[in-house]
Amino acid sequence: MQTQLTNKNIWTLATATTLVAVLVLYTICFTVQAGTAGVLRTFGAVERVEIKPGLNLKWPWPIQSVTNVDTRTRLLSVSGTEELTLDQFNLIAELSVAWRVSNPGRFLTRLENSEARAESLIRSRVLNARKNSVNTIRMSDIINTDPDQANRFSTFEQSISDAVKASLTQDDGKDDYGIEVQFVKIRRLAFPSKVSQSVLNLMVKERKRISEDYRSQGDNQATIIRDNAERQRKEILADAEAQAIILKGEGDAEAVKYYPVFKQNEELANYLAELNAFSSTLKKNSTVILPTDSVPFRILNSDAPDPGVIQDESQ
Amino acid sequence: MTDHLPTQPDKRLDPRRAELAGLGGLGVQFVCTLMALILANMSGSLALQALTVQAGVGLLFWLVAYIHLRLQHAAEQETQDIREAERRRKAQGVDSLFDEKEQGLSQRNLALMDRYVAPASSAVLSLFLLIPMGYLLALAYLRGSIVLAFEDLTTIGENNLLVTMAFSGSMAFAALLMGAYAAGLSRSPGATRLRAGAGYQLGTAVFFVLTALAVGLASKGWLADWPDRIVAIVLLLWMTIQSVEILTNFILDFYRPRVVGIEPRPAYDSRISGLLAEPQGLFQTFAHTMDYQFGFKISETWFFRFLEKAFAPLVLIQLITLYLLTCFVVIHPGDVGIRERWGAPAGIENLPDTDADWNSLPPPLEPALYLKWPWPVETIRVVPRDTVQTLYVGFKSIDENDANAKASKMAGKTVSWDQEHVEDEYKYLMPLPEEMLETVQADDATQQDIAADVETSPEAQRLPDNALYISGMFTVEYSLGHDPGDAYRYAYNFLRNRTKDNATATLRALFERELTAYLAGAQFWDVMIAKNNDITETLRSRLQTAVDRHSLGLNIMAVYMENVHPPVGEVGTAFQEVLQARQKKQEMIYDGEIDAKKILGLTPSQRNAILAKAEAEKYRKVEVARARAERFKHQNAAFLVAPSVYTMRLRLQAIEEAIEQSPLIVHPPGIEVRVDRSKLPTPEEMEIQRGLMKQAESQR
Repeated sequence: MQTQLTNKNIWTLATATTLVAVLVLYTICFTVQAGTAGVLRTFGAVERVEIKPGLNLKWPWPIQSVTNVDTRTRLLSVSGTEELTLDQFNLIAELSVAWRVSNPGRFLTRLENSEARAESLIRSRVLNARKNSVNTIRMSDIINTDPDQANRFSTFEQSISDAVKASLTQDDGKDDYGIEVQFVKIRRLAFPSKVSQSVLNLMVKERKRISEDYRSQGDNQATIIRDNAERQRKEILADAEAQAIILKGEGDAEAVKYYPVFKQNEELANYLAELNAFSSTLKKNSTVILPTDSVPFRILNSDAPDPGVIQDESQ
Repeated sequence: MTDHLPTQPDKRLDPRRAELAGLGGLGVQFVCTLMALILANMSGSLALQALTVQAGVGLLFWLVAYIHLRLQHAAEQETQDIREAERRRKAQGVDSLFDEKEQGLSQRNLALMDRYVAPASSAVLSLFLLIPMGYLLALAYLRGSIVLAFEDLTTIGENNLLVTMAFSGSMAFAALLMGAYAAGLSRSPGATRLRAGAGYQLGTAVFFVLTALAVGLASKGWLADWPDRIVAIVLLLWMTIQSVEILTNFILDFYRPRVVGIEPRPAYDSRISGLLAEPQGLFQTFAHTMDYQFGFKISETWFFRFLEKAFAPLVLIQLITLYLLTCFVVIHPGDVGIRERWGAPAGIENLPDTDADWNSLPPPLEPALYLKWPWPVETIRVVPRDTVQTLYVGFKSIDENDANAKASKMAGKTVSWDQEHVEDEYKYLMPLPEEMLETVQADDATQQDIAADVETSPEAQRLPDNALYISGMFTVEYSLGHDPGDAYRYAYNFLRNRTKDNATATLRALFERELTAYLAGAQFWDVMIAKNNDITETLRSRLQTAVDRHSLGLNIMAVYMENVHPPVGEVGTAFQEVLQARQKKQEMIYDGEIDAKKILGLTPSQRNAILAKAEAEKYRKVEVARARAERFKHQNAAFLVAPSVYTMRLRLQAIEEAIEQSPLIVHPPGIEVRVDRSKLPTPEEMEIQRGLMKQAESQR
């Protein structure tokens, strides 16, 4: 029983000692991760900034304390607001800003190691610089196909970046907030919604014009094809008719050689021609109106002439 | 587990000590509650918020236990006083003034406590324990899902996490000490009522430890905020189970027989919490169950006794083994690793200041098994080297997961220009092509529209007549760069934490910039139809230059234009209309050609008909002339024989033939005949009439 109690006490002692040792180490050691800086403060005042990553020693709290400040690059998106260009176009430019903590001690004391505060501070400066920059450019400088103006975006971005950097440093060039802006980039360009709608309307109208153009071209070409065909048809038929007339003429010419026969009795020939014409005419749906005293109906009359009269008439 | 408190009957604890322990427990529980509240506000940890409620309810446990102990102390004091008085009276030979079975005031109070107040308190406590889970479920009901309910709750932030972890650990230690002390005392007779508070406080200690771990993980940015949420959920479940158990105890206590001389176990004294106060109780319960199942005392076998003794060391060895496993790291094929000692890349004094110096760093660890010092001395940061990663650009997205989800929705979908391709597509500005520019400037109607738009949108001073919009989805495929320093650039140049991956965000920003700049200077039709490969290669090259300039340590493998199209909706439809119109044009041309074919197709036959007719006419003329000449010879001969008769006959024959075919009107001589042509039969009527007559004749 006595041995068991002793063993138990040893284990308890060992555990307690380990715990205390860990606790002590925890209070006097601190690590600086790569990409961060440890700001060591003695009674609240910044003692030194440890940028060398690894294990370091300090006095236990409350004498000394350490705040880790991340010095890696961060990205801030600055949403667009409507600005007027020099040639009075309304333009919205969304930007990206890369920034990092360049002076951890300064950043800690000025901005309390707060990313939100730093970004708020950068944002307001970027907005101001962007307004100034947009006011000095022309829309045609930004949107054009001129290869000589390939650097127009960089110039625009650099002007904003320079203005922001200047506003983050003191007059003597010293770092004011412990922040370094690495770059400012345009993310997107756009017009205000109503203007955008007008641009879209323009695109629609332009396309409709081309559509109409195509339809008109189709109509024109189809009509031309039809008319050409009609012309060809008429030409062919006219040619045929001309040939037909020639043929008829040839027929007439050939028929004339039989006409001398009619010279034997030209009066009879003419009479027969008249009769022939009379018969041909009446075949064409005519209505014949004859008085009863005409041939052959005069025989219906009581005073019908005798054959001698008839003969006289015929003469 | 028994329904009455296991005690050590030969060692009754001084009631004042038990009372003081109760007060101490109450005090520690109060400090725990206060600290949980402060730490929850500092860190935003959901687990600490839940723990604040748990610890706060613990105050009530301790309060009830303390009142119980005070009443018990007073009752025992009263009993001793009465006995002392009785003993003195008996010694003086005076009869007792009281019935021996009669209870004093304090004893009656204790009885009232046992009988009414403790059960009622138990019921109230069980309801308090249900508050967090009830709140969560109510929130889930209102939002429609438990996931959305969690989104409404605050999540762990990024500030004060190490302080929170340290203080949570301290609170766990304090609660553990006080709880263990009270649990130890509660095994003595007279102090058993400490056990409810002790068990509960040990529960608080356990959850402080879990919370400290979750906060620690969050502070390292390794596992986002889900460990914190998991601890919160486990705590809510733990409280709910306790609540159900206490409520069950409360109901069963009505039917449970009371044994004289044994202190009843109050309903609020949770058996589940008791496991924390008396872990060995678990073994005893398990042993009793096994004995019952096997029908003999299996709990008295050597194996069971060995297991009971070795359990704690086995668990300890297991934990140590798990910890020592952190000495081994496997870097899988396709990855590289950077060994970090106390957070610093091993063998590197300082990270380089200039980009070129990164390449002079030692090469990262290749895929293999590595031995290292255990955490937190050494860690190996694994960087994916060969994994191809994809970035989808061209639409609005909250983060990369959102972008991937939106892009994947498009996979396998057939979309036309009049439909939205991806949710919230961006519109990029491009210069207006020259032919479009001419259209816009030449079209009076368009100029009038522009003027009208300016009037209706006063904020728009001028409408741009040199720009249009284009939309599309672009894909960037990238992997870790091939330079020796790229793994370090990737790992250390950009802040990555559980809420934001600045490196990927920067890559996206750089690509969007290059895309916007390129499109703002590109020819519309080049982008739409002509120079796809040139454009993607240009974009890739520009992006690689930008990535190198800003030390992202990435290799841009390819850029693809998955689709490029005019803005969807009316514009897309107008573009489609052009295609339709082009088709229509061709259709019209075909129609014209068809008509031409029809026209020209019949022409040869018509020509032939004319010529044939003419030929026939010619033949007829000649033949008729010949025939007439021949006939005339005979007619002339006949005429010469009887001129008048012959002519009369010819005349009559002509009239006869005429009458046969035409209507005849005969009128008396000397009458003037006027014919109303409109009443005469039309040629068609006459034709019909003639037909009818012929028909009648043929029938006859």
